[in-house]
Amino acid sequence: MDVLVAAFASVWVAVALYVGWLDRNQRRLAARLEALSAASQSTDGEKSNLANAA
Amino acid sequence: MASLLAAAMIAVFLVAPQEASMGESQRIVYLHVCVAWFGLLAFLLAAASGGVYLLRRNLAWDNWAQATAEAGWLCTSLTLVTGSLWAHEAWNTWWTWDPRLTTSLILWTIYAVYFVIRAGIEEPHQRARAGALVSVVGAADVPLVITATRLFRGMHPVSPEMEPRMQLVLLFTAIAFTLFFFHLLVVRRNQLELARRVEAWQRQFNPC
Repeated sequence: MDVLVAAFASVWVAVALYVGWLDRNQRRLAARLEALSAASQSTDGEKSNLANAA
Repeated sequence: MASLLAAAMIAVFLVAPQEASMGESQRIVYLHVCVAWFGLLAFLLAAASGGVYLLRRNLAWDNWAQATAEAGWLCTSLTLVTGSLWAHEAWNTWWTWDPRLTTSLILWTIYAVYFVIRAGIEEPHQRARAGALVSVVGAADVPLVITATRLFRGMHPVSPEMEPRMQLVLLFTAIAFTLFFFHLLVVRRNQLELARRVEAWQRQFNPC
């Protein structure tokens, strides 16, 4: 029974970690995209700063 | 998708009958078979995507290759873990150098190398080319994993007899897991594609 619990827990914990990692990546990309989008609408000097920040 | 997986888990515990010799621990098989199946399928798809990249030199195919290899590596890791737990109950050992276990471990190692190599290369086309070569060569191990038990007379079960209700639950669980992992790899592939475009856009602002 312990082994059964360990097997199911390992699968679901691993899947949850992978999904969490995907979610974090998605948020990071969205933030970079937003910063770049703001940079594309700003002046040349600001562009470089924002691009670096992104 | 979550409700489909929940239904599969309910089927594993409430619909599938208890197996006579192993008891409750036999239910590990429903997970083990599903992750093993998707792991092998994903590595074949990663090799196919890598092969298409080598022919067309289009990084979109490299994104498919990377996303499928990640899902395949996750599933193969889980295959080894769940298999080891099952083996402890069935064979009274966590690990044995059975042909299928050994070829599966080799496959897992090949793809671990795939990620290490990719992580060490900056230039996208060089990285894609190296990854494609490893995945195409590594996929040669997939048929070995499938046929290992028959070819080398290992102790790993080969399509054991199951009663119809067990077969049905296994089929349903396999379909649910396949759809779920396909969904994950499509999400990951879209992420990689977006990351590539963001990086290209960023280089326009800051070429250095």
